[in-house]
Amino acid sequence: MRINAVALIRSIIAVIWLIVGMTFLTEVSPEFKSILVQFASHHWIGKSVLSAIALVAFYLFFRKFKESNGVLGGVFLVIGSVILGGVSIFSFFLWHFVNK
Amino acid sequence: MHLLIGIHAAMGEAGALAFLWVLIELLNPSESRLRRARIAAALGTLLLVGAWFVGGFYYVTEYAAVVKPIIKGGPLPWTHEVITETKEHVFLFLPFLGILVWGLLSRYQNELRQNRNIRVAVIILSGLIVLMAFAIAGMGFMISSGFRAALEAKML
Repeated sequence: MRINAVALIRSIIAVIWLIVGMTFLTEVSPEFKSILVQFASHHWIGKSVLSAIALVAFYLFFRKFKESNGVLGGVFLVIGSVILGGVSIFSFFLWHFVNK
Repeated sequence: MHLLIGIHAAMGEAGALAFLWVLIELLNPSESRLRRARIAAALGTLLLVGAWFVGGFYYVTEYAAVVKPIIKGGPLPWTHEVITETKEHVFLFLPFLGILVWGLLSRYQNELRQNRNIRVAVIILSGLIVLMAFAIAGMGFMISSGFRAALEAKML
């Protein structure tokens, strides 16, 4: 089976933002945290399992679209997402700690 | 000292070195170098997934119950509240980035010799994985320091 590179890139970007979103949501919503705990016994395991499932689901969805040549541009979007997502998570916990 | 932390750190750093290997193989690629790069990327991804499982098991069974309350009660609580919280979530990016590098190497195989754009893309991604993995190791050092400072404060 030939891998669809663009679908994989889009799926990775979606998973990165899903992790960032779940990280924030767990901190601000006790209900969401409790759903993750019920689903996987610990919220972090819940996020891990959901991220892995989401990668497969996103890939199956995005591979329906035609593979284009924009791999380098897509990789820059992945890198941008990693940097922005990482800085957002760090800034959120720093802000949370300073304002406690 | 805890064996699981050692295994987690060793797998994470070995995974980072595997992606450094990928990066070096791609600087001047030949058919055999690209084959080795694919093997290194697969190995690196497996090591990062292993670090994910072992670190996660330690985090859930030991850290949350024993280490976290001590750090939070010590002189450097930010090492948990900022550093651990950031580390445990940003780490989740790494196995997925590893899958992406392995996926691109497998998809384009020998095309990478002619296609400079995709080669550059894989080199940059591999470099990012190396930098992130070592940054995360640095965060592990900060967390250990927070724990040690809390224990020293209790003893003195």
